[in-house]
Amino acid sequence: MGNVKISQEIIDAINDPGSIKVLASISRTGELHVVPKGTITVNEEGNIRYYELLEGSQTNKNVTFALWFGRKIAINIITPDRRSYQIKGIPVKSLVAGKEYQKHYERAMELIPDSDLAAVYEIELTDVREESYPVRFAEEARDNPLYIHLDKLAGQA
Amino acid sequence: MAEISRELADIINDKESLKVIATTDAQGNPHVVFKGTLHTEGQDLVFYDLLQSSQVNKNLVSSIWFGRKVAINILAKDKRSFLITAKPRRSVTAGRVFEEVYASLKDRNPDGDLNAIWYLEPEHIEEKTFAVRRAEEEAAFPILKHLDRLVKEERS
Amino acid sequence: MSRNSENGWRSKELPYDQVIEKYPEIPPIVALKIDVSRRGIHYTQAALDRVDPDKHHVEPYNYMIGHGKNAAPIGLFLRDGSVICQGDTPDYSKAYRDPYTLDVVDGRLVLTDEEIGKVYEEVTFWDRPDFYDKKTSNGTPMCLVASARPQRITIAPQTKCHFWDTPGEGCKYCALFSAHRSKDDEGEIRDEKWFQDVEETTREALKEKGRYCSFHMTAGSTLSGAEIFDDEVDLYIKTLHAAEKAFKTEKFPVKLVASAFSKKQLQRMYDETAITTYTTDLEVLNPELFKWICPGKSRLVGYEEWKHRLYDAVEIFGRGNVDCGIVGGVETAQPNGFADEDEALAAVLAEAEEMGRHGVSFADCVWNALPGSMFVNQKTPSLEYYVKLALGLAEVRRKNGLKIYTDDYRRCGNHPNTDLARID
Repeated sequence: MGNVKISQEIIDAINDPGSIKVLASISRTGELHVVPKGTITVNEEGNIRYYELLEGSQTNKNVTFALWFGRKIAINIITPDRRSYQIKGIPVKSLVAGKEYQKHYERAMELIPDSDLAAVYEIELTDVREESYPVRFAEEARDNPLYIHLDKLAGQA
Repeated sequence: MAEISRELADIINDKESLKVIATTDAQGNPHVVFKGTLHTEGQDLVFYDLLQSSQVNKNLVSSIWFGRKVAINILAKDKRSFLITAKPRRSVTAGRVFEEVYASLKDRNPDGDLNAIWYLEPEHIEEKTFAVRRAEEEAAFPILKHLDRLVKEERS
Repeated sequence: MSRNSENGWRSKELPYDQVIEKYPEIPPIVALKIDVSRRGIHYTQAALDRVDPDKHHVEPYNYMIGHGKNAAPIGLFLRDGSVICQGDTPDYSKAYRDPYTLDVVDGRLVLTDEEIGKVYEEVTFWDRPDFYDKKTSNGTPMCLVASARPQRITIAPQTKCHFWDTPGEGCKYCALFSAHRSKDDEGEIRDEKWFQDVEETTREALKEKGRYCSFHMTAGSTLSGAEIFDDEVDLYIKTLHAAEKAFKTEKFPVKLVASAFSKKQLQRMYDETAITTYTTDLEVLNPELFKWICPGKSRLVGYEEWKHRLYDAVEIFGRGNVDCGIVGGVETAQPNGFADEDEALAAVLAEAEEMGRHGVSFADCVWNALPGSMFVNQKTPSLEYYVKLALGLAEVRRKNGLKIYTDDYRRCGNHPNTDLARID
């Protein structure tokens, strides 16, 4: 399973109410699926927690599949100032009943009135990377300096 | 092939919409990134891949080679959300069209580069707006919920 | 003393690790649930020391079986949210196979196989229902009115199965309500106070927000009435009417596991109560074996008629809303069952496919040779068989476009084949 921890900067990005978070997952038959998931947060252990609000959602099925077979899902967070972070991980736990779940059930109703919490997933992280374009561009320039069109290197006549 | 409606095309092309593309690598691991350059050209979805070393580029190459599909989500400024499943149809890495796009991007970002223009053919489109999905689920399974939500209030 | 050292059972079948390798489409955690259900669990003292009766769901006695035994947890959670509906097996000296062990390793409650020396999965106990400590206005402890699983509340309107009234006619695998098998024992008394207790207990249970997704009712078969099962129908209707007083909607998720009602009886249940789904158990998908294993059901209703009544139920409740429970694996019971597992599987799945085409889904219980059942000394099939059966039944469901809500992982949790519906 994963053993990667995320920085406070990324935790803040996830918790920023202005951030948009998306979750990509793969179905039993290999189809990709990606949707916004506003209920992604970070738990006390530094793992990703997310509330699945729709029992019949494709994401719910796919994340269960990933949990069962130790497969990865991918999350991306974009902040109001357009920083972007991609996190990958393996779902390790699904809470659907019990006292701990019931606390989340009530919390989910506070966040989104009339919601019926289907599951609380815990995801252990395997990969974390900043995907903000300026950061990636700087990495590319550093690691692959020859990935460049020659007109950028042309001298003045 | 699925048709992109006028309304959806407007949402895709709106600069305030957020657009993500999800791809898989050769081992089947998912990858998801925001792509602000995603737009429509006719019935294709098109985006500009700016970095040759990007994972999305590698994944799209192996997807076009092996017939794998990609998934795109568009989040409109009014929070409506649409999922589009698409097939990578073409990758343009040189030529006149490439150079025109390269030049237009250079105006915005002089130091930036362009790796490829990717053309994606939409195959399936569905709305994923939470309120819409919740209403669908409620309509399909009106009583499949936690029983405490169905409780009759006791008369005191 | 290990059972394996006495009978060498481990060398006669594929072990868990090889089964999941051979069948990559079975989630390892579901295969483990099947194997634990098949072999049972033995709690170490360290595991027993972890039980807190004030916090965890322990039964003072087994609600459905009624034997007196020490308070013990009746189930476990796996980390995917699914449940294992098994308690402790303190004495397995007469079992064919060694059970799994529930132990504490590195501070975690885990399932292990002692002989192999492997830790499989971390588990947690079920939480005690809030209503268990309450009494009704009649002074009845509510834990005697209803039982529960993590997401369902169970009421048994009748604790006696009258198929046992005729000696030898009870179902041979069954240990349910075995405390009330004597002819002179009519089971628990159900008077007007009891129905009032049902209403109050239901209302109290629903105060625990986020717990219950299903109201489950099952009982032994009642054969009396103008038509067979008429009195059973009356009892279910009366019990449901008591529970319905707690609900604001006319219909709510009820998991009813009952006898094979006639079309007239089914229509009455549908029209007069909250139910939208119906389950009746054909138990073994083979008419000859049905005669041997369920002689009372066979004599008084018959295999083909039981099946026909399932099809009638589909006309009333709709495709996918009618479920047939089976005791998966009992078709291999000896001496009359299939000796060859491949033959058994082919026969069962062919029958399931026919019924699936008619809109009937399946809830496969993993047959375990239980104390209190006539089949207590039988040898149950291999893990490989159960895995193939679960996968095969899941494929029947998919091919026929059937959903399965009433017996799914939330509303029941005891069926590996319906667990697989989570990813469809």
